[in-house]
Order: sequence, then structure tokens, then C-alpha cells
Amino acid sequence: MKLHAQLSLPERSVDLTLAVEAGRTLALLGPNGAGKSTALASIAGLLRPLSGLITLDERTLFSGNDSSSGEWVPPHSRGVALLAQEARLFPHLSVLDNVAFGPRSAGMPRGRARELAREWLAQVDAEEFADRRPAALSGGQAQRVAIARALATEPQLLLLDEPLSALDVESAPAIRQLLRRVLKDRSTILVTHDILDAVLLADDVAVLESGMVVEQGPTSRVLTRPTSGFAARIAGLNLVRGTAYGTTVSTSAGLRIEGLPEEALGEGQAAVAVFSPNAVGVYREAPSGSPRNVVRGTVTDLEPHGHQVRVHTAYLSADITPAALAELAIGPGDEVVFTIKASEVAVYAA
Amino acid sequence: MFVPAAVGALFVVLPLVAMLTRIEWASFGTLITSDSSRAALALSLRTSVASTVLCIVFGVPMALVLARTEFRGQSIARSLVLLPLVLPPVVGGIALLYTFGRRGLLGHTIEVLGLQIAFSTTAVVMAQTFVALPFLVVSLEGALRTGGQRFEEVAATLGARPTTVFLRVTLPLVLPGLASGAVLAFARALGEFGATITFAGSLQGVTRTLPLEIYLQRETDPQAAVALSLVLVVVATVVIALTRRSRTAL
Repeated sequence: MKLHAQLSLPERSVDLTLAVEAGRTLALLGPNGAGKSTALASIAGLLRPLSGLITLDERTLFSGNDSSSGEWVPPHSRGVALLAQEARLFPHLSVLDNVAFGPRSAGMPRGRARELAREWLAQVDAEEFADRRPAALSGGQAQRVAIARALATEPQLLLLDEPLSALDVESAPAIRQLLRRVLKDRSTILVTHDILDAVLLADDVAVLESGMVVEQGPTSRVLTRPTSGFAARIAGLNLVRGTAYGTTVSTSAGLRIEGLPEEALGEGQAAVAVFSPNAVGVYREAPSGSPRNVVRGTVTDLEPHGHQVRVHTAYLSADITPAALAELAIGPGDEVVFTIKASEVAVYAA
Repeated sequence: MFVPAAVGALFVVLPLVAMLTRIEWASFGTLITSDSSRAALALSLRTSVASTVLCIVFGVPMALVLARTEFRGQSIARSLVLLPLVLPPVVGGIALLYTFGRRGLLGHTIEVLGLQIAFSTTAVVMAQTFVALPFLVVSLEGALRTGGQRFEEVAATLGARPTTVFLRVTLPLVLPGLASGAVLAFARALGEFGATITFAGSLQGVTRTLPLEIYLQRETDPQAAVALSLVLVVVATVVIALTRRSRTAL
């Protein structure tokens, strides 16, 4: 099923357009309060946008503008299942009846609905919990059951709102594997904070900031060639946004980064310079020699990053070895000089 | 902290104990099985059950509207619904009389229909419902609000229609709240005095409930009044005990 959703909720400062191609998974990324959950609730029918148009294939789920009321399909007739952070299993029903709830609501007799529920529990490796009460399950077990319950309704569109964020580190990988298996060929929107979820589960990525889509495209492209600060941050890249002058990107704050443009850029065109923290050298004094980009800054934070240490300044970050850090003897508040070889900087239009 | 708590508890318990000491156990049996006592007890139980049922029938939709919808003037509506909680029952009785009494607002309409409500058993039930309804609405609305809409939203996205959501999700989840609300309403109806005597009067077997009987007996036969009071205490205790059992079983 192909989803098109154009939503406007001015009271929540949300105004965006999303599209999910049939059988693909779209990851929604963005900082807290960017409007991700609002978008999901609108598509599920739990929230009514002021205006917009939501269609699932040929079916219109919502249409309306400021003046007329338009069309509105209630949540129970949308064929859109929503899976939240917490499993939200009905506490008064057994695990089996939780999974059978959807088919029963669609009018299936109890016996057949339970049979179907058993099959779905088997799909998520949770058969042995069938007769338990939800209160007797761990977080990971409950989320498995919630996935089975959502899938048992045969939804045309599946909405996942940070399905792994409430789980402990031990159970998250197994659920991620399970989702990878069941999301194949299903139209899905996945809200996540985790780069790993985007890479492993999503075909496409849309980045939301302040209620708007700032970037959208195939996952691999967005993560290797981000044009938004948020996408660059979760991809672990430095991104400097500004205007292009020749091979240089200049920011309004006066930062100038020279790089290798992938295609010819017009003078004054909006562009970004993107480079890995690995490509950044860190010094206390500006060195003389070949690297052409020199950026001064104040260290704001140091954090371990794999076998290296990531040095943050207000705009950029750099990865250096612990030995190099010891030699530099820098800490938060110290002035440093970052150098970046122009050949390591990708410059493209944004 | 413990001292004021103990004083408070003593304040509640001591009068009950004092009452127990005044009971003449020898004549207890005959006192509470007299015709008038038995009639009053039976009437009290019958009317209290009826008004509890009415409270559920009207109170559940009222609590749902207050907890699950938003409309203009909702807080005013809530205050009005809760008014009988703070209103002196006598005032409630007078208000009912001027609404449903023979010369009341709706009195003429009712008379045309061939009914007369004031000073009948129906009036007793209405007076009890009037004072007991807020108890059910308050506790059920509280249960609905603390339960939240999380489960109802999930149920809707799983394809359940609003009626299915209500019957299979909302209602089972607030059942404890509904039960305790119903018990409170029943207890309030059982003890109702002021509105009843104003609106329904005191006719033996028709409108003279147990509290009215106790009040009347106190003037002529204090021993009987004390004995009947104990009966009321026992009934109330049994009701509370039963609901606590059923709540822990849930």
C-alpha cells in the first residue's frame, strides 16, 4: 500500500508531507518535539489535522481544508496499526486474547480468532506466553506480543513509534531482528532515534525538524550525503551549512570550509560541506603546511568513541586517539585548532 | 502524626461503641423484627438497590462524557453535577418537590400522564438517586481519567468500533472504579434522610425508610431506635466488606 500524507496542524507547528512507497519502510528521524508522533497520530486517525490530505492507495483517509470539513475515516476503519514505545497490552486479557482482539473486532468467531492468534504468536516466537497475563511478561516479551497483535489485524500500513526505546539492551537486538523479518514487504513508518534502526530496518529516511521535513530520501543516500544537521549528527558526520563560493562553503558566522564539490555549484548557492570527524586534525597552535581549512574553537566536551576520543566544539567534532589526547592535554574550555584537508571534505548543494 | 491520626480514628469509632453499650440485647430481637421495623428495612433495601441501578444507568454515561469529551462549559457542567454533594439534603428535597410535586415545574405534565410522584415510593428512589448520583460520577470519572485513553486508542487502531472499545476495553478496566462508585452510591442512598422526608414524606411501608423510622422511634422508643441503628451499621459494614472481597478477586 502506498501512503501519501500531507498534514497541517498549526497549533502544534506541524506542516509536512510524507510518502511511503508500497512495501517500503520509511524511518522518521528528528529531535524531540519535531512532530514525529503528531504525524503518526494523524495518520492513525487519533488526531485530526486542521487541513491536509491522507490517502492509502486510492482510499482517502482524511481530506480537509480550513473552510470545509471534508472527509474523515475513523481510526478503526483505516487499516492502520500503531505500535508504541510501551507494548500497551490489555491488562485484563490473556496474551492470546490480546492478539485475537483485532481479528475478533473484525467479526471473526472466537475460536478462529484464537487459532490465528496462536499462529501469529508463533511468528514472533512467543507461543509459550499464550495463556499468561500481560503483567507476567518482561518488556521484550510484551513487545513481541504487541507486534503479533498489530500484525494479526493484517494492517495495510504499520506505524511504529520508537518500538525499541523502552527495551533494555539485552532484548532490543532480538526485537530488532524480529522487526527486520516481519517488516519486509510491508508498508511501514518507523519513528526512531537510533541510527541502527534506520540502517537495518528502513529503506527510506525522512528527517523532521520543527514540524517540517527537512530532508527525505533513500537511507543510504541520506546517511552518506546528509543535507540537514540532524541527519549529519546521527550519521556521525560534521556538516557545515552555508553558501557556495567556488569550492568554499561560507557560513553566516564567518566559518569557511574548502572542499571538493561533486558538481559545479553556482556562486551564492545554498550548499553544505560534509566531512568525517576522522578527517579532522586537532592542534593547540595552528600548524603551517598543507591542510587548507583551519577552524578555531573551544572544546565543549570529550567522549569515548570506539577506540578513539571524540572532541566536540560548538560546531564541529574530531576523532583522535587517546595517545594524541594525552599529548595535547586538552579539556573542556581549552582553545583548540581544527584542521581539515580539503580533499576530505565533500561539498554539495543543499 | 500518629497522635492526631489516633484521635481521628477514636472520634469515628467511639460513638459506635457508645451506641453498642446502650443496646438492650434481651429485647433486641423483638425490637428489630416489629412490623414497622421490618417494613422500613425492606423498603430501604429495595429503594437503595433501585436508586443504585438508576445511578449506574445515568452516571456511567455522565462520567464518560465528563472524562472523555471536551465541550464548552464542561467545568460548569461538572460543578452542577456535583452540587448535590455539597447541598443540604433538605434543600435537595425542596428542589425536587418544586420540580416533580403536584404544583411543581413538571407537576402538571406528570398529573396529565396520570402519575403522582411526590409522597410515593418513586419519590424515595428519586430523592436517593439525586443525592447518590454524584458519588458514582466522581469515582468513575476518576477511574476513567487515571486509566487514560492509551488502551482505547490501541483498541481503535486494531479495528475495534467505539462500542466494542467500550465493552471490551473501557468497561473492564474501570470495573473496580465502577464497583466502588456503586457501593458509595448505595451507602449514600441507604442513609438518605433529609431529601426523602421533604420530598417523599413518611408513610409506613411506602416512604418510611430505615433512617426515617429510626428518627421517629427515637422520640417514642429510644431502645428501638438504637437497635435499628445497629442494623443499619451492620448492613453498611457487610456492603463494604463484600465489595472489598470482590475487588481483591478482580
